[in-house]
Amino acid sequence: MTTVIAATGVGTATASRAGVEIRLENLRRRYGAVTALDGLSLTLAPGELVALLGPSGCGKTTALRLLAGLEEADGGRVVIGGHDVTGLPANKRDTGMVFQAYSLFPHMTAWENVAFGLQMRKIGAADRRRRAVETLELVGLAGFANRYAHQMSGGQQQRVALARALAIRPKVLLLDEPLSALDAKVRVRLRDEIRRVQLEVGITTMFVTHDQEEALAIADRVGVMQSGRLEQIGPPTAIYGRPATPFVAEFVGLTNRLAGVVRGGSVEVRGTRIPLVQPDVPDGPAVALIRPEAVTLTSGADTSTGPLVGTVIATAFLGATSRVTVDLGDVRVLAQLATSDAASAPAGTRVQLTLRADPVLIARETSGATPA
Amino acid sequence: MTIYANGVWLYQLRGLAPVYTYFQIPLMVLVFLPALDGIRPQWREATESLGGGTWHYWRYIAGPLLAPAFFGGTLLLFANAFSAYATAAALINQGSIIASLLIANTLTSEVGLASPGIASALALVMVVLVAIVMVLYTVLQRRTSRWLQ
Amino acid sequence: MSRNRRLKLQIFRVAVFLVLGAFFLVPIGAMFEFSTRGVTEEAPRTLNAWLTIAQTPDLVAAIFASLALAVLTSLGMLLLLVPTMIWVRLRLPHLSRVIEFLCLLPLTIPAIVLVAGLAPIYLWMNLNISDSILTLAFVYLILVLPYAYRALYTGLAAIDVKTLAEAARSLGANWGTVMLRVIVPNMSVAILNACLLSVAVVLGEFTIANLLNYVNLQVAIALLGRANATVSIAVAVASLMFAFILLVILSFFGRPRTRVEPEPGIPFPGLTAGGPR
Repeated sequence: MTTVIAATGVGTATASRAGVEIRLENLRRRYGAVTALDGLSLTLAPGELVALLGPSGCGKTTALRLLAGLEEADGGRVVIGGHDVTGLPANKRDTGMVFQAYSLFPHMTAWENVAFGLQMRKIGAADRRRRAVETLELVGLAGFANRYAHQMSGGQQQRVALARALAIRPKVLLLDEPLSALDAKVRVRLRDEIRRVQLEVGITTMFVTHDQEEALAIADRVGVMQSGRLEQIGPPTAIYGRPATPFVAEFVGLTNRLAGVVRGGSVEVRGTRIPLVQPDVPDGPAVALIRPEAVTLTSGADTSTGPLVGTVIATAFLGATSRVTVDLGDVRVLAQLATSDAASAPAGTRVQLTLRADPVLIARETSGATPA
Repeated sequence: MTIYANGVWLYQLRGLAPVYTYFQIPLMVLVFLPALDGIRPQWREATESLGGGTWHYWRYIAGPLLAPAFFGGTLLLFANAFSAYATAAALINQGSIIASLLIANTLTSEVGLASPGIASALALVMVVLVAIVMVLYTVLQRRTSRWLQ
Repeated sequence: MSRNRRLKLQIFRVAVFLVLGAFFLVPIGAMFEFSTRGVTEEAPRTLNAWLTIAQTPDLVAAIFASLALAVLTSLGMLLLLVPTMIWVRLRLPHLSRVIEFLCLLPLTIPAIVLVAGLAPIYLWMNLNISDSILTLAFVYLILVLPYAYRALYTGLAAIDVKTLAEAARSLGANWGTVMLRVIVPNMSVAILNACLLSVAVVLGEFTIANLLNYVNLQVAIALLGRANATVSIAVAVASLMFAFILLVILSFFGRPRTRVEPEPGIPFPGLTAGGPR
């Protein structure tokens, strides 16, 4: 067991089998002129589930494949459980990988698929069968041992793929967008299932996705990537509530871009003074990034004029909350409210907006917002 | 060059084989290529991440997956070669050493000994043989298309 | 994939390509070499054989007959298949398996068997209707069905015929307009493919013409091969070149705008269509 690097947000992992620490050190990878990874360093604590989140082409899949040994790094090191595996091929690394879709061997039944890795490890036939069936039970597919891939739904296939990856008792579990090919409903169910199994087994896991909801829902920590670099890594609440960079703020969740003026460490947006997250923004015009939850509205009363007075033009019902679009004349603002509050301001109502004074980020470039 | 050191074999039965490969190879490529296309890179990567090497991949995954398509293609080539006529007709001037030449010669004998009845009977035998091969081919194709879509 | 393995794979690919390329190109090169030989071993290279093509009336007639047959067959194929396939797709989808089976049948029936069945019919047709070589277009129409069907099927599968037709109908178009102005323009590449494949099949056909005693291009080449080998080989090279040009055209226009997954279920030996088997 190696020393555990203190990591924010690790705690839920009640390991039944202790996971190992994984270190990626300064990984670099180029494809021709494209830099896929530009010095990525990341440490996963034993038993931790880290989700890598980012737009396509940000390098998250490359990071996963370098860890799996399916690609070779141009530079940097991969350390699994204290052993440097940088030069090892995939079949010597002891990693379990779940692919996007269609990765089950189509000519084998579910249990034969799961047993394949055990066969590669020269485990006897009886043992193979027993462990394969056990692992299928773990993922909730006890009755499906003799099915072929084409006789199962997409969700069931991915469960078998998960069982196949886990059956070899790997040191690391790697998930490469395992839910992206599934229906919305199945996706949520399987997502929770993956988390349950991962906690039960206690395996260190890297989960790559472009779906922020997915990442925020199941990860101990979320790493947001852009252009081959880690923009920010932290617990989901920190990523959403305290984004470190404008990119993270805009990539995770919805954000209003409102023009304002920075002066002395705060920004004035349409008559409201809001503190800044970044301490070093120079004075002058800027675009503030404001979450829809930080916008509240009041109808009736004094709604004749003012910089934050406008008309409701649309309401999207999201269940417990609703998202209201308010036209302020020169710009449209999204506000996320309790559905009961939104109901009092149907389309056409004049409303007064209030911006909550939570610290905000300033966008790097000023395009995309009309001046106030 | 003396490629005819053992006699002019090109115009005999053994001469047909190399010439037949000229239309058989493209046919095999066309029949087999969709199956190869159906092999997903994930399977290779899954094999590797489960601890298997190149040999394991071909022995347990790619080999068994491609086998039906390969044997299906071979059957199709058999039927195709069995019923080919033009190449043999162009190369072989005398005798009816293969079935298709025999049918042609009984059909339109230059010396007036045409016997269309025999030709039809022979043709029917050929149809039955080809039909059997095609049924087997379809069975194998069905398996392939279930595995390799 | 590791760089080492990628390199090995690349070398393997190049090797296969070179070997196969040589296997197919050397005989064609040898044919060209043979067709330019002089009369004796020491005679200088000459294009006489090539020049003689135009001065051999039988050959010229056969070339024109084959070209006319190619055009007739393509037209007949389009008239028969395009409306049928669109109609089946739109209104009679339960018949699509039947149509497919019928269209692919000629692929499995050997040409030699076809001739055995057709001989009496053509004998009767010669006596009672016409003995023109152009009557071969009827058999050739059957021969090209599988190739044309597959080409058109690919084109139809790439577009959502039903939605297009429903959209046009709801905008007030009649069925003729739907077919000619909405669906056909969207499958123009497939139609071109079908035509080029048909032309290739017809120009390469030998068995049926020969056994029904018609002289088309391939039969003329074979006959000439016994009288004047160099000229016959020159024509063969020329017809190969022609088929090659057709294929280049086909692959140039033939890139489907939407990639359609090849179906492994049905054989499509389209490229072998060019040569006689």
